[in-house]
Amino acid sequence: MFAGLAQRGRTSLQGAPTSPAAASTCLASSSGVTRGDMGTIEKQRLAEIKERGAEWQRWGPYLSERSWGTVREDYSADGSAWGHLTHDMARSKAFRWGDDGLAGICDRYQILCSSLALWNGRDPILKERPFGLIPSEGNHGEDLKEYYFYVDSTPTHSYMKYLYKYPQAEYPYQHLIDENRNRGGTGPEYELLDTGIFDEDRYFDVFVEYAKAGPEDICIRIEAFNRGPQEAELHLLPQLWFRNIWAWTETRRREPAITRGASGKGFVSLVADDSAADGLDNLPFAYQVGRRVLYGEADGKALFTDNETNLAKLHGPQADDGRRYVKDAFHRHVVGGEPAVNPEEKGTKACLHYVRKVAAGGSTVVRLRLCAADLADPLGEVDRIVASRLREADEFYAGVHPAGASEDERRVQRQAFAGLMWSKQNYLFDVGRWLAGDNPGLPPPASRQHLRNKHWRHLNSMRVLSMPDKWEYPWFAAWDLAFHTIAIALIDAEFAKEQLWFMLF
Amino acid sequence: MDRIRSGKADRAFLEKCFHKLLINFAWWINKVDSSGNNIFEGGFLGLDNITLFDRSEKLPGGATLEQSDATGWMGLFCLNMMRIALELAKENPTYEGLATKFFQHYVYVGAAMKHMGGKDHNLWDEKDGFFYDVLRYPDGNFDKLRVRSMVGLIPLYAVERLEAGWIGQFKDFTTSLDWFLENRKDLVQECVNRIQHDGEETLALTIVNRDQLRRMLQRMCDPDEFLSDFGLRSLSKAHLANPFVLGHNRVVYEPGEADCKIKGGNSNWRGPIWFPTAFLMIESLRKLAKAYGDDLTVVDKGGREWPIGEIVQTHADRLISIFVRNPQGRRPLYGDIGKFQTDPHWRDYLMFHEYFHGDTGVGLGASHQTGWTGLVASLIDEWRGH
Repeated sequence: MFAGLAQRGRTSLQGAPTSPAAASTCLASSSGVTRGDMGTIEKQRLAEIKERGAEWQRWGPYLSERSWGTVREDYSADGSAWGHLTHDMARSKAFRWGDDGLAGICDRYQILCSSLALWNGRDPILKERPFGLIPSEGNHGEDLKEYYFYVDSTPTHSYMKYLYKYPQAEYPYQHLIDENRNRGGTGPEYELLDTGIFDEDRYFDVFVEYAKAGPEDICIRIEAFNRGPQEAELHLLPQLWFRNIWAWTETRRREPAITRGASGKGFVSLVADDSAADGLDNLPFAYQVGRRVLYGEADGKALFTDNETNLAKLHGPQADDGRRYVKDAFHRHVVGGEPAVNPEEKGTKACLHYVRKVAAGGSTVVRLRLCAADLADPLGEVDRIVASRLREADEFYAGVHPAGASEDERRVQRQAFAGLMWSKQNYLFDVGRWLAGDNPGLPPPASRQHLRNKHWRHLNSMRVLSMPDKWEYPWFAAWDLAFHTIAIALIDAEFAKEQLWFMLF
Repeated sequence: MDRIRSGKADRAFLEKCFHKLLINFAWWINKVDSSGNNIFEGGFLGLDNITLFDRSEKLPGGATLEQSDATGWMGLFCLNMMRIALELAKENPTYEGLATKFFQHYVYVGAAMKHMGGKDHNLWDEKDGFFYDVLRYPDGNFDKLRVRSMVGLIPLYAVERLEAGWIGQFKDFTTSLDWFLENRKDLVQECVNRIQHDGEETLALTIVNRDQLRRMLQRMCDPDEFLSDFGLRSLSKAHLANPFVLGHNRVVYEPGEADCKIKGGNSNWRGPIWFPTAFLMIESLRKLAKAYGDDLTVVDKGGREWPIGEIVQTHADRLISIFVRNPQGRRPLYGDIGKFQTDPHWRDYLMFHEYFHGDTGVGLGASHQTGWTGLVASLIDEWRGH
């Protein structure tokens, strides 16, 4: 599977399709696509990908929902992947093989990531990634303990919608662990709803919508509804960060940077740029995302840190490498009030921090936009673009549903497609390098050589894969994947074929 | 798919996959048939706890397990390869030879499975009308594992239809086929069924004959065996009252969570409904229904007569119904979770679980496994007519 590293063929990236092309599509305020003989506009986008390599699928929901507790991040001596990197450590540890988050997106090679963090003012940590039990804690093995839904997605991710249900009371992390353990493997699982935390509807429905104004121009609309009986405060932190591809080797590689960008009427911005950084070294062509701007509504306070491991926290003071700004800075700043963020306003990880009061039964909206261009009014068109991409998604699926399906069956079918589309994930894994370690001066434990994957040295994957489940199964499974392609072929035959071929490669 | 959707088949894709699959096929043949008898062991083949043993572990006392599903999968593989080769042969007759090769290979696998020359431990059990795994000991003794599960239904996956009118275009292939049908009747009678329809012959390539198919179908339309209100169970409910026991090992019908912790215990194949296996069964039965037509019927123990087509439709409808609001307005997958049944902010948001309760259809295991459970989209596509 060696050559599986690069997306060839229809999705190949010749060189770095960065600023100029991206900027021009960003400036176009409409989709850049007009309805032709191909039927719906979404079908036209699929045809553009096939025929001329249009970049409609460069950005998508390819960020995983769990990178902690995975084999890839496991560098222990005994192969105890779940214990080596836990949920509690995840906010402090820079991941080696891929990042995770809530409702996240990234580019095809996961250079630049964006996802949402939330805080209800009561939780001990930010809600940055879905929580679940590990096999030794769960009543029936590992088990996600969250309510979130993939509501919609077109095959090009021109429109996507996601719903996260966030309780207003303190999230019962420890209680879920204790009660499931007490059940000792018998009887049903103890679920989040069983804890009573959603009683009186004291929770937020947080909808995240993505709508592409162009292939590389992504509007983001977050609307949080307070379903409870009283006004409640909600912190929303759209985050933007570079996956750490620089800290692993003996000599650190050149890093990208995120800095404060222009502000204007109704907006602030962050600028992420990897133009001066070292890129990926295992692709047969140069690849960068270039300069990207994340615009957000003006009340967002820009915070900056670095996507680096908090060594002192995870390994004790003796391990401290003197880095002041580390991955868990926003958690420490927002929840703990610590001066953990970089006052110089630069780093490899940043966010816009919104604090909104939401009336009982009311909602609040945060609009954002991620693209390559400098725009004078980046947010004014966001609602309109979201609405028109949704309308096109409706048109696309109207042509997919069979005539005899009831309204409710159409809903089931559309959400099944949404789940398949949202479950795409970058699967980054170079087994040879994983076994040997990155830094000859700091080799992984020798026992690890014989624990797992010693017969998989040939695998070097840089692909976006269709995953069974981005939380419980963040790994590729050939048998499962073949089934996914049966349904996916109904809406994106080219992606389905590419996935099948990848498993045969 | 491309031909149906866009009028133009993607032949290059099929061809490159076929070549790669030839290599995979050789791997399976050489790797998992340790005795060279066309019966496959295969070890762990998914379906975690479905058998008596953990199939990833070595069996005690040097015993080997001859598995119905392993052999069924290989039969399916042979037939898929034959079908692809014929498709490619339309434009390049070179592939007719490969189609013949895979037809032969299918016949050897099918015949071996049904009738192993000189031995008496067939996987097919005439008494029960079902396929069972056989545990073979080094001293020649064996135990038949009388567990009625998906493992014994999987041989039905190996099915293909050859219509005389269609294969007439492949001269080399039909010459070899005819020779085989004439000269190797001993093998062919076990796995090729000749069906006459309106004066034209269809060959149903399937390991079971008409009578055996009926006996298996009977169990698949029996609510006390495989037919739940929500589709195909992974284990017959008959094992609720009659667990299968061998030594210290025991298989009992467990429709929800399993007590048996083989493979970590977070998935359960001892009763629940799983989409991938149920979906493949629907696809197989659909082909059989087309081959046999509605004159193949089964009378269930209540005396009701089911044409095979109705059995397939019932299985498909019931799988779809797991997700869809029933006349009471409730979605079976959410069981008695009040919020998911009645609250307007919850009731129309769907989760796609890993597997479903064998009696109630309630979603179990991983909650976002749209992966294979997303096949409900394909079922709606196929069974709700364009």
